Amino acid sequence: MTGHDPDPTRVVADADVLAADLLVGGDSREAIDHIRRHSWMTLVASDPLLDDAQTVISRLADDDLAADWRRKIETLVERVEHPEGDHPGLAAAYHGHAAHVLTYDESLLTTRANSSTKRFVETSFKPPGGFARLFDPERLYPEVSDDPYPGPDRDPRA
Amino acid sequence: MTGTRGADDTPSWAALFDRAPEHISEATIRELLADHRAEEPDR
Repeated sequence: MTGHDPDPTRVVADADVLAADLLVGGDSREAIDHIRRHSWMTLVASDPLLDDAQTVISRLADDDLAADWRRKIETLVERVEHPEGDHPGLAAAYHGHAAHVLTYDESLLTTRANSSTKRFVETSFKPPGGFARLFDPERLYPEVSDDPYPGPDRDPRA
Repeated sequence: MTGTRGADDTPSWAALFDRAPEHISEATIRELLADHRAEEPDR
């Protein structure tokens, strides 16, 4: 991997998707379950991104659940640093070599936004449902191993 | 069976999901996040 080339096994879930994984389920949980199930997939995040999600969870649920979620998500993600003030989703993807950003933010999902942000980061922006449906672990596994895809190797609810 | 604790002594995902309040929508989350980020300078 050179420069900021994206790696298809590395994914950023923006703070809305992280909060929806916990508080709603549905598409967000299906998408992140793909990562929880496969140890060779990497969920990339930054402290500002996790701070945003924790704030949303605190406001919609309570501080205890948000704090427990923070401890848990920190065991799943690979944290990267980026300059203060950058958009946490975009910056985490750029500095974390992620090929996908999962978000509900229409401004990031539109074709126009996609083409303009690609000047800075070669990353695709998808709603979590799109990622959940398109994720094909058998096709992706050769990126990390010469062996046949062995199936899921983690319990996504553990 | 998935218990209430993860292997690293954090709560299991199953236990966290069980504690989530009901009837929250993605739209509510999106709106709250947008408001929160709008309050942050330079983003």
